[in-house]
Amino acid sequence: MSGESQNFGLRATQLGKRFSSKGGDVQALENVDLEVKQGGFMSIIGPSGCGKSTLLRAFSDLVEPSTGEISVNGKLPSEARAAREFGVVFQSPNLLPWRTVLRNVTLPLQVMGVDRQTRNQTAQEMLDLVGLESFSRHHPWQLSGGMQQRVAIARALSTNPSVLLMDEPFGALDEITRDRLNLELMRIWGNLSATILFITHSITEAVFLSSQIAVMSSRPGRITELIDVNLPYPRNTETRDLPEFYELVIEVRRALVEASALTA
Amino acid sequence: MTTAESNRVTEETDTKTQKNLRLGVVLTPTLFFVAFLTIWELAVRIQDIQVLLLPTPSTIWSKFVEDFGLLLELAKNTGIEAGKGVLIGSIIAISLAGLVHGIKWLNQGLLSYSSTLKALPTVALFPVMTVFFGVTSKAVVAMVSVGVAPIMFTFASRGFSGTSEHDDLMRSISANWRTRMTALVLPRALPYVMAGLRTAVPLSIIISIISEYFGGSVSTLGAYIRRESTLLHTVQVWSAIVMACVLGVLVFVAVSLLDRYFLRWHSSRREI
Ligand SMILES: Nc1ncnc2c1ncn2[C@@H]1O[C@H](COP(=O)(O)OP(=O)(O)OP(=O)(O)O)[C@@H](O)[C@H]1O
Ligand SMILES: [Mg+2]
Repeated sequence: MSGESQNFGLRATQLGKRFSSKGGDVQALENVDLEVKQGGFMSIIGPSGCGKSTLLRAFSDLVEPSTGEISVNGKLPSEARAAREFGVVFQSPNLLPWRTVLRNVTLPLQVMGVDRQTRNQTAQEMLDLVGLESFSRHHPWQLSGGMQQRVAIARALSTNPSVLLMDEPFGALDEITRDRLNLELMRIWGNLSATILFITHSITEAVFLSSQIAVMSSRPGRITELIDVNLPYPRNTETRDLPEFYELVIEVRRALVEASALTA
Repeated sequence: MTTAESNRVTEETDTKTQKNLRLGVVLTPTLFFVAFLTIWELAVRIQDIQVLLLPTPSTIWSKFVEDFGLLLELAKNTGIEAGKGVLIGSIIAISLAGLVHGIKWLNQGLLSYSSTLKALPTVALFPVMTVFFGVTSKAVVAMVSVGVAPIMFTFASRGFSGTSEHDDLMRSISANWRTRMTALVLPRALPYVMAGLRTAVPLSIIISIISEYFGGSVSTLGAYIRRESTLLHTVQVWSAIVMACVLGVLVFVAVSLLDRYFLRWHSSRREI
């Protein structure tokens, strides 16, 4: 790999994905070019079914691209997966119901062969980080949706990945909880300096979190616009009151409306 | 009334009706049972039916108490045969289901066979078992295994065939085969295995006793019932039948307790 591509946490060049099924083929992604610098925070926003999850799943080596190239930290997604360089947070918390909160968080470490004591300690630290230190012995169903999603984040963070792939992690939460978790995510990201790919349907969430926003349109799924978010970090509650924040929200909304119009 | 208050009231009435329901579940069958025994007792006495034909419940009960030690020993042996059969049959069925669940055509083929086998009166095969194992306890165990295996296979195979987002999770963390099995595949199949056991375990007692009618160890419920009935010891037969029922209830309770313990994380257990 060239030294240049090493600087990108995530990179897709002319990425295409076609799903073939009995009902007909779907071009989920076409000519997608995307670059996220290491330590960057990229949000993806676009109408439902435009291929956001497919893009994220391509990076997480859960979907094989049909055309184009894709890399995570300059490696093939399969290599990056084997090297445990990324953590995935799914659209649903995706916790194992038969395991306690702690044992859900230790799962990736268990897979890596980390000894029990170390992995329990690390998991406990991760739970501290997401504010759930006292719930380690609970089972997932004893937690609210927001708490479960925080456990999922703790699990993704447990292996200390340099890349986080998050598919609408807060999609199912109410606005207040979502705002709180956004703040938490910013705090965590500040400490980790990980590269984050973040899918969302919320314009304000995208503006609040990202250093860059990719707007997508569907059929075929493609990126129609890239918007830089030049708001100062660290972001906090005051960020949402800045006039620039509103300007950006308006700009993203316009881009999203245009992208949706393309779909027709 | 505020919403909180009205919620509380509905909750209270809910628990009340629930309590009444639970009481009814116990009370109604008990009343029926007592009534049934009373009519039986009275009918036998009034009609002056011979003990040889139909003893009264009270005679059966006193025989049951008198022979309790012996009956317990018989039930223990029958229970052990049934238990071994369930164990062997389940292990074979679950391992087989686990091995073939990735191979669609093989799984499908075995499933059709197990569904058919489930419906067949497999106990009729007992004489064949005695050809292989002799008229021994082993033949009974083998018979139970054969009877139980198709049930367990069907359920386990359904448990293994499930897929969920958890599979994506396992892949994303590059879980190896062993972790995938122990952390996901087996626990995910567990509710199905337990459902299978709820059917298989009571059935195993039935199969054991019927097989024992034909032979095997002499010190079992089935052998005892058969021997005493040829001697026209009707009261002994009935007391052994009572013991067989007790055994059936016991294993059912045991499975339910296991079920509750293993599936305490399961959504159907949340409210308990
Ligand atoms: N495994 C698959 N097989 C066939 N088609 C698929 C598959 N996965 C996704 N698709 C199709 O690809 C398109 C993009 O799906 P994708 O899940 O990426 O959308 P999305 O942008 O994440 O939508 P949402 O916002 O609703 O989550 C859809 O038309 C979908 O039907
Ligand atoms: Mg999606």
